[in-house]
Amino acid sequence: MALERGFERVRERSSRFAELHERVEKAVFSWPFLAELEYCTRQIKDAFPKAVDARLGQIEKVKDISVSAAVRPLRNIERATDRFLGVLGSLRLGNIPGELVEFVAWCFERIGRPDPPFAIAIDDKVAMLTMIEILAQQGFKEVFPEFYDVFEEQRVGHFVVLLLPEQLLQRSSSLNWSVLAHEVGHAYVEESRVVSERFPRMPTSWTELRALVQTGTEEDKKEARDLMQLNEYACDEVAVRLTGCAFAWRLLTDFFSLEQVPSTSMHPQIDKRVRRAARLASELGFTKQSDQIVSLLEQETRDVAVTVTDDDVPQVHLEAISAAIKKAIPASKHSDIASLCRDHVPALSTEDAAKELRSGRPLALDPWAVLCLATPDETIHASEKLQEIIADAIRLGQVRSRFRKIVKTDAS
Amino acid sequence: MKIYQSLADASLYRIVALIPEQIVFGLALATDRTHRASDETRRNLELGREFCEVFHHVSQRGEGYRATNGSTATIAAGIQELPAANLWEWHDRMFLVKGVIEGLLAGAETENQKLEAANEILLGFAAFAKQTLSSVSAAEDLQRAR
Repeated sequence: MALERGFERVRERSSRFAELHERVEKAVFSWPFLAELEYCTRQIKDAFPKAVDARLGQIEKVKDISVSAAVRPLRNIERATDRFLGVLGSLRLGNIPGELVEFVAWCFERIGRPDPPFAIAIDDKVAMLTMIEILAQQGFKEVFPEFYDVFEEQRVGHFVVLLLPEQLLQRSSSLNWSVLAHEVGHAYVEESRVVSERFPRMPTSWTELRALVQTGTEEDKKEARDLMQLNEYACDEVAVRLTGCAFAWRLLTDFFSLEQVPSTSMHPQIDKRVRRAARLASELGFTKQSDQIVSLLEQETRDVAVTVTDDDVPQVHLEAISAAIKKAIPASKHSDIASLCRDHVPALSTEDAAKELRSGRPLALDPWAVLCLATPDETIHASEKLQEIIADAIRLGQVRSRFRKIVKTDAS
Repeated sequence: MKIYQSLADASLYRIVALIPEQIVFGLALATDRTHRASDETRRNLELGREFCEVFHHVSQRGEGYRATNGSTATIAAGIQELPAANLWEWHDRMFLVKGVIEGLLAGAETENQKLEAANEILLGFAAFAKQTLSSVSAAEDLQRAR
């Protein structure tokens, strides 16, 4: 009898997936970027009842042999499903600054994903998780393989959940949004396999990679660590190509701290990351800004012994990955800002545009250009007011770009 | 809501509690000869073989154990979260389970009595792991609250 009730409870979860999908479907009217989430929740809603029938069929067999052996897996499915529903239920379906959504969608477009496959949830960390990784961590692979299989090798499995602290969601944190370009970089790096293809022996799951660093052989430890650190460097490079000097700047001013200077298994030393990001920005023409970033970094670290060299990632891999990213992702160059400014107002120089931005005059440019114009600021921490102005400029730029698309479509 | 932390906790729970219970499921299927060779039985028994193999090494060598792939590394990292002294207490019993599973996978005739004994051990281990995890996380919560 208890088992029958358990069967019913698991089946009831189907209606919760259906309700969730309904909510997302409604939200898409106001938030078109949620279209991909709508697709995912629709797939989940349709696949879940079929997967449940198949799994309950297996449990039914065990029930006739041992009720106690059948009860626990059933309870585990229930528990894992509830946690998964909890994660999906926590996704923000509104109350997000439109500018932030536009900025992330713009980043995805630049990496070749015009239908941005992402949703946002609030957490105390900035992180990116794919659906398949979330399911694996819940144990679906073991307790509910029929459902897990739906996500493998499918569009829905690669859907991205961006975890962000509430503070980063504010318009008054707009300068920090360049860090989201790094998270979008993770989506690119995972899907393109630009790093993992160089480590064919290594698992793709981050949980497994972290575990290998903890318990693997010396050779595996090094490979897993190299892979994870190269991933971070690759995502930094994507972020610089998307947002020019803005990312290197924010990496230094808001994410750099002396406590973080030593590397962890996943992340390279932060000072090395800042230096590399500054160098990459310099290659894109942001020489003045890069020099300023490096000089500030040196001030910050002058009393600390940093940049040990024994944890360096293999340069041959780093160079090959860098070349692949350069080929695949268009760069946001310093020289482009000048033409964007002229496009906005003929004869408007970059310096004047930066002044206009700071004084709060309407300025419609691409999001990355707006972030770069405010970088580096004279003070390390930009004021909230300036950041709100930046958010306005990002919004204005998007409105203009949409308007131009409409005009183009009408003309053709 | 701390989604990231809750997923990490779920990942640990998966290894030390959920996998042993899933092995029990496979062993229960194996008691019925008509299901012994089914894909579902094999899947769970293979999971069990991997788990018991790693458990055997980790309980013997502790942090000196070196995993050979991502899957065994994850299991080892999860098991290492449990107190080493307790792991050693479970060593002989889990070794027995390992023998039963290996026998079944090799196609050996195995008495149902042995399968039931293995099930008892695994359920006991899962209960111990859950209890340990909940006391560890309660202590951590208290620490955080302070």
